Amino acid sequence: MSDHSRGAASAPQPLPLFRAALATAAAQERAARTRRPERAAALQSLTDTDLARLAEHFEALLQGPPEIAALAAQLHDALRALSPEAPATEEASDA
Amino acid sequence: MLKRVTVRNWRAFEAVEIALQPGLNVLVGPNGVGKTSLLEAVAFALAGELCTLDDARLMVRAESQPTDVTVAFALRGTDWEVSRGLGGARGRVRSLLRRGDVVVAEGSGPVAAALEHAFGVPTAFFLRILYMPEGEVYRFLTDPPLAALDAHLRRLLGLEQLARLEQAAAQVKREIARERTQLVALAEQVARNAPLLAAGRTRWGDDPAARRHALEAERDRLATAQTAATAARRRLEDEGHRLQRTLAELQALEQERAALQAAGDPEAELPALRAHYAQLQVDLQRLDTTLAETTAQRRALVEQTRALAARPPRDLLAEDATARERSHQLAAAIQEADRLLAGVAAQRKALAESTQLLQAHAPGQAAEPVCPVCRQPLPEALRQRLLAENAAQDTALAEQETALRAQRQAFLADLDTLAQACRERLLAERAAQDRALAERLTALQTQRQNLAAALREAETREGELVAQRRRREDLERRWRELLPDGATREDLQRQHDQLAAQVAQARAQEAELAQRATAVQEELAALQGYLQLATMAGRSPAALARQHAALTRRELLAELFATATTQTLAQLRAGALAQAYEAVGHAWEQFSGWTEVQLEPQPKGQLAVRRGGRRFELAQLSGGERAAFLVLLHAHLARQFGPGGFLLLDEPLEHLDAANGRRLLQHLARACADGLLPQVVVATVEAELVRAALEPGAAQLLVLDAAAA
Repeated sequence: MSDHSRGAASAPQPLPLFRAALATAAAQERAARTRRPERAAALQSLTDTDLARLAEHFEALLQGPPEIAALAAQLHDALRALSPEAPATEEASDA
Repeated sequence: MLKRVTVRNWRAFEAVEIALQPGLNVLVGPNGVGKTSLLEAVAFALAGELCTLDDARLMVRAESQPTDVTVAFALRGTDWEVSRGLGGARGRVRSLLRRGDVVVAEGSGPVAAALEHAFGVPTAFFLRILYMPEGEVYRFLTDPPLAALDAHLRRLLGLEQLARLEQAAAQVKREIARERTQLVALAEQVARNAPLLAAGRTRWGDDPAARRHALEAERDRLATAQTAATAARRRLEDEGHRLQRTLAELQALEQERAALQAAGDPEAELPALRAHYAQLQVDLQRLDTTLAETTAQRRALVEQTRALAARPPRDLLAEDATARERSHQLAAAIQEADRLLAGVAAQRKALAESTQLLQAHAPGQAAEPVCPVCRQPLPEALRQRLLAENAAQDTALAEQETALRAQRQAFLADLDTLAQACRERLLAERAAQDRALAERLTALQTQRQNLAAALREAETREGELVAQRRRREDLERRWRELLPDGATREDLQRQHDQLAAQVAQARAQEAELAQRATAVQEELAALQGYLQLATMAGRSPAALARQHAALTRRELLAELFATATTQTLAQLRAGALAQAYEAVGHAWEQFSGWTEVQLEPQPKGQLAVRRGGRRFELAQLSGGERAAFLVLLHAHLARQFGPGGFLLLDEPLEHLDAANGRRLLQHLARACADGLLPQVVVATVEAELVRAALEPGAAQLLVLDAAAA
């Protein structure tokens, strides 16, 4: 055991792992080419602030209710808050 | 590191304090002495709840006494003390945390938060990692090894919520995908409706909303006009119907009046009818009187007949003139016969006396026979002759008497026959009288019935005449009501015709309004359809694109979130497993004496222990070996993730034989001595094993017995 001895470490924290995994996933998405322009636009609009807020929601949901449906509802709300529709500026001409 | 545990009124203990040293501490004692409850006291103090029981109040020794648990510990060179109390008014838990002499938190929530902050791990970490409760070995042994290890690690590391969050993220992804499908369908629908939208723009221009408002106003105006027109037409129709009913009633009255006039004048007939009625009543009264008298006569006749029949027949002879003379004759003859019979009887009596006297003066009977009359001597011959004459005379008298009696009996028979005939004749006469009375009564009854029928007929007729008279009066009154002020039927008919024309005109106006309202409604419906399409289109070229963009961004975020969550969960699990495999494998080398041990998971759920080139599945190990494996796993996790530097093991020697138990204790003592595990507290019943396994000074032995409790 002494060969493998290490000092007492803190318990594995999901949040740093999640942040890293999120950054990796975003980078992979950006690196991949997409033919869907709206997907490309969404990727282009994605900022580090968005990822940070997503991680905050992840941390909050870890302390959230144990029911999956309730977790899904909270996640929906969080994603909608992060993805607002652009304000209508040329509505009349559309109609 | 734990320094001191103090309990009061806690399960087996009234009050006790134990001091824990760095390194290996072993609580030994028999079952029920309170070893587990002391470890539970540590869990309760640090986590605010018990590990094996849901309700801490079950640990209270005496309900009337306050219960306190205090644990002193050192963390990164600072002394801490956490206290929990039970009891009080509502049985709430009182919590207090001190750092040194300073109270840093009070109350369950603040104390829990402060402890989590100080240790850097969740509260559950105390219960799941730093404390291996009794029975944990059994649960580990009864599960499939790898699945059990995985589940055990997930539970120890608190990964359940992360796994639920992974499922929730997948669900959100699916729901957003469905939303995208619906949005695409909506876009296609909008595209299909493009020609309709173009036509609508041509028809209604740039301001369809204004046209809709105008149409709605026109619709409302027309609806109001239609309502008013309908109400006016209904009023006209009601008036026309009323006049029509009046005219029909007048016609019916006229016909009825003619019929009444044809039936005659009741005023002319009524006086004669009433006089006839009065006469009929007088006749009926008379007839009733006669009927009563005749009925009384018949009743008297019946009584007489009944009395006549009850009397002896001979008593009736006096009442029959025909038989009366004959009966008198027969009575006289009977009296005469009686008189003659009396005379014969007297003669026979005298003869008997004479004969008796003559027999009394027979020779030898008296001194001297003498004539009983003249008292002269009576010769015997004479006496004999007289006796003979008396006898002959008596015989003649007897015959006469017999004849008289027969004659008398014949008279009596004639009298009875006469009386019977008289009775029958009288009864026949009464019967004839009764029949005559009955016939008269029948005739009177018939006459009475006829009279009564005539009376009823007269009454009925009078009622009819009175009703006719009343109906005439009603008819005239109703006529005057229907035609007041000298109006005529022709006037009413003219009014009715004018109203019919007005109704026709109102209907035409209503139809025109309805036609205009229909046109407005149709245009409004078409316009609303166009506006709906326009609204839908409002989300289609630009707004729909905006919505689509937002949805795509949301979908992207959901995918990133789900991917990151899955990877986090996998990394946590894999990392923990890998660390556990590596550390436990090495610990297993030391514990078992094996060399080149490597733990590796297998695809079908087994956990393999590779020793050199040979592989052993964990399931192939004995129960004791697997129990030791679990203790080593806990020891690794406590060392790896337990910042408090302590580990509580309740009965870790169960399932182990003496040799393995000894080796496990020595392994733990060596780990403590090497500083790998700063502090281990073991509770066990194996006192002898502990003493045999550990050298003096290798561990602090805390012996608990009943006296300590």
